[in-house]
Amino acid sequence: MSLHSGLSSTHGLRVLRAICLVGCALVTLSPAYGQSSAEWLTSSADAARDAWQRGESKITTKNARKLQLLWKTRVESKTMGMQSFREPLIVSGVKTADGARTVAILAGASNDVFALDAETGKVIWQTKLNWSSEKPQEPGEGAGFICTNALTATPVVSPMDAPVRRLYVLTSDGYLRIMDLSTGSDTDPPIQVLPLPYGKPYGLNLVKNVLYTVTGQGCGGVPNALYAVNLENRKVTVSTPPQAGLWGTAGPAVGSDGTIYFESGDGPYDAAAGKLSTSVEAFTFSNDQLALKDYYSPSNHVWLTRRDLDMNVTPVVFPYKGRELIVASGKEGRYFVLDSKSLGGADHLTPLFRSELISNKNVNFQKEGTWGSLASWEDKKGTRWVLGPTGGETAVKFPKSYGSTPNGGVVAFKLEEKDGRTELVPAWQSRDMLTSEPPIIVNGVVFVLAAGEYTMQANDAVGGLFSAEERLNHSVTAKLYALDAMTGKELYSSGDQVTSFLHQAGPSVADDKVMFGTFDGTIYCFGLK
Amino acid sequence: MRSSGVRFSGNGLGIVDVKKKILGWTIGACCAGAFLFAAAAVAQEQSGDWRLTGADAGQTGWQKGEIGLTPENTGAKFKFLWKIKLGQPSKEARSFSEPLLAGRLINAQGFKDIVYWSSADTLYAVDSELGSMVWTKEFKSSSRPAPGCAVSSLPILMEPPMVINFNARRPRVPGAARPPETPPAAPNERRLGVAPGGGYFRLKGIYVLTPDGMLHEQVMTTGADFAPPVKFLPAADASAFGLNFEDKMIYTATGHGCSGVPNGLWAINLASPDYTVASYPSQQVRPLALSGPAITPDGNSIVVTGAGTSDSNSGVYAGSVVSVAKDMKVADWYTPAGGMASYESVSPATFTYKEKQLVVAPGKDGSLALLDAASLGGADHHTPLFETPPVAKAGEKHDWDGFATWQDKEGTFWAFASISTGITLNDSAVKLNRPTTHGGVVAFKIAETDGKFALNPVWVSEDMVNPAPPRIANGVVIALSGGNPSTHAKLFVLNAATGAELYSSKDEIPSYADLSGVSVGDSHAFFTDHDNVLYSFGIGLEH
Repeated sequence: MSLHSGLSSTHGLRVLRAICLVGCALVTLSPAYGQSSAEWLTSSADAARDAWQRGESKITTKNARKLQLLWKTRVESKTMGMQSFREPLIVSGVKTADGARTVAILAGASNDVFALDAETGKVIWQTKLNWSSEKPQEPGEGAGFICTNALTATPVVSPMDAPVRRLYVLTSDGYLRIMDLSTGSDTDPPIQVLPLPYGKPYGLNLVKNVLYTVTGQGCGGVPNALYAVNLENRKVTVSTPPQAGLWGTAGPAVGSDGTIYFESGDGPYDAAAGKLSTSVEAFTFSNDQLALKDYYSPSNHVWLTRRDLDMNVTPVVFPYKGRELIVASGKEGRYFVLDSKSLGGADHLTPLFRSELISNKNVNFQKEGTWGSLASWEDKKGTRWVLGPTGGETAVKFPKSYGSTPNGGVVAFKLEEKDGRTELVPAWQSRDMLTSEPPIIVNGVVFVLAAGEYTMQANDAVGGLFSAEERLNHSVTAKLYALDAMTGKELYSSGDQVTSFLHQAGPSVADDKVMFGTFDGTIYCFGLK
Repeated sequence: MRSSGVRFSGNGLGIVDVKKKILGWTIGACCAGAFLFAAAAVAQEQSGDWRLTGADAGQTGWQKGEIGLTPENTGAKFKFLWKIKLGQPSKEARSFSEPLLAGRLINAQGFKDIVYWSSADTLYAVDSELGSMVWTKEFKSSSRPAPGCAVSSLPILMEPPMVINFNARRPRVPGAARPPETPPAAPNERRLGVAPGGGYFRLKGIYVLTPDGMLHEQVMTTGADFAPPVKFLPAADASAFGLNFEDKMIYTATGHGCSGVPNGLWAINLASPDYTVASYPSQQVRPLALSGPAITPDGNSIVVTGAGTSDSNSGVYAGSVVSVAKDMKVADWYTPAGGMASYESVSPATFTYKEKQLVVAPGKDGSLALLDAASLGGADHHTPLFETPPVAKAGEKHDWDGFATWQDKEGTFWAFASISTGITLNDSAVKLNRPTTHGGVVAFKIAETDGKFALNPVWVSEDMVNPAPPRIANGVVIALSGGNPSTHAKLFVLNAATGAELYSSKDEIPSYADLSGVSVGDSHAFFTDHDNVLYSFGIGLEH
């Protein structure tokens, strides 16, 4: 299915095409798509969603204990249900009235976008994006804690080496806004991406001038699907048939050959019909066509569906000994290593490696297991690491751990070859953290935000599900942690400095600064003085 | 009687119709995934639910939602899955028990499929897939029942599923705010038997009749008290039989004359503000309803009565099949001419056949009868729709017989009977699997020609000792040979059309299973043995 905006080309558009083409060519030469030094331009750092900040940083394991709150800025940003800010984007060299500045850009739940000076926290510009859809805007914040009337996808910025850089924001009306980084003004007409307002898209991924996102939970009646926006011709392509919920928070990951990977949640499973619930799916995009390339379904997918143990994570893609591997996980609490050449073997049920149960002994779909997205990095010795958040106690003993973790934390694995098999070997488990967001890696330091969000869904004391308001009331303040990436040892904690929580949005790191926004409208920046 | 706290358990493993499916995914997806649904009214019951003894109010024993078990796959895939010991067995009594099943419940620990079973004082909730304990609820009693008046299992049942009428939703005005969700009732506003609000994931109840005569409702997902219990029976330790439910009425029976509580049927109206209780006293004649009365859709209780003296002025009919209306007045009865066999316990089954409500029940000594619920024994109360030739020797004592009914894919109705004494059916057309000296299961096709009914025998199972009432699921019969102190229990799966054995547990069950009913759901069969060990057999799911 293809949606075409029907808008005629403009001079600006032609220029944009040319710019994008050049940009794409440059991007393909980069070691990690879209990532450049001292910037954070997309969810989880890059197109592969490895959350590894490769840019130079003064932050080390030795000085991380000296991290401190550099600034915090309160802005007026109306929340929607549990939703507040998305993951910050950090862009360098943005022209402002004060000259070229590194700018932190945060999209808020009510379609407002803020650009702050990364050095001072001063708001450079802010804008509330107007409603573009012909469908009427709905009052209120939506229903429950899942389908809120919110902006839910972390925006994306074109790469540093693009001749003209733009900010792309998918607003709750389902339209993509193309914005000037310096002013926040629209540079092009909006593109309708989602067929209806109030869908629930996740992190935007921009590769070779094509922007990808996935949608989940069927919010607003928007089909759960992979969406591709060709920025050159403004065509929108939607995968078919509609899938179960696609809701890894960082959206789809994209491999070095342009293959798009995402996980799918619970739903009807009919592989012959292309309905692949509880699976890892790989798509190609060519000539404005999305095509299913391959998939992996865990052999116990019936059980996973039965207990709502969705595959709900943005997978991570990385090179490994001449191959490109994908690591996936989900609410079940296992990790899967997949070979990009054949995700699940001939039967689509056989991964390179399927871990034992790492977490979620309680088979609890609400908070345990793995949520959000993963991270991966390679240390100086060439060892490949994979990290992920957990929502409760682990089911296996890690060689290094720091006490019981009733609320979860982060787990780290090394990728090793054992008897000719590629395995994820447990390495360390962090201290206890309440609702840890996906970790990020900077120069041997792991940053984790214990978001403090109350994530329980069933109110079994009085029946029904918790309302968003009830969950807000049960949430506690967030804490930022810095951990030694080799051992998981705590190097720094923000303690009580953060005064609110956040929902499904991790921090970003660039230019030696760790940033995130919280539910009360405060944007924090931690770093070294 | 006071109820003690609920204990939650960790999750350590123990010893180890399409619309409904879509609804399950859809509603479940409210928590996590998609919401793409267009359907009319759908009961929220899961395909694997077994809410009442015998599957439904008519005690047909037919699991209509089963799709996984088939005659073709059972032989290769059916096996022992897990077992878990649930407390210590009662030394004083043995009463009927049957596990109940509920799927896709949600609590703070996630989605759960739960099998419920009650011992003499404790209600257990066990994860039906994993065999791990979810919660327990103890009902402590200080009374000392008279000999013969204790129970080894508390009668339990679940409320019927809520029906969601999607078409009843008013279309939203574009641009209008979403209507607020109806919040659940506060705990102190809850009343037993009254749905508390809260949408699909509202609290749902499992009812327990405790020895003090109180009817309790526990939250199915946590075991917590849903609302204060209400008085059902007039005295403690009445040794009530099973429970049944139809249209906001809960029914039970008493037959041991314990604590001065008369033999008879009892009905409590959950829709009345004061929980009105009505009863049908059967004087010295016992209702033989270990698993409670079978209930027709119009609320008539069908029971078989034991030996004794009939008193038509009082509506007491011994050795009969009696229909008692909602108001607990006798509506009709059938007394076999020549007298009924000696039964310790037998529960009829009632089912809808085209425009009629039929009953399968004992007939003349050793035979079986097909009855019209609207006129059990015709004008003279002695004339059934059809009576089979004797299936057991006249004069034999039957400890516990039961019935089941099923409609196959071709539309043929079947009746099955578990017979607890030697089967003597003499019909050359019947497939005899082996001599049945102790008992077994007999299968009949129900035929109707020009308004004349017949029960045509098709097959007789192999020998079974104290067989439990048969269960039918998607073309297979699940039969438990309960055994006795010298013979261990065996679970059989038979081809419903032929009686051919598809599976036998052989020596897998070390103990016997007396008065243990079998529940079936999601390709699993559950029952308990004499030692309070709960078993799961079936087609396993990779976890």
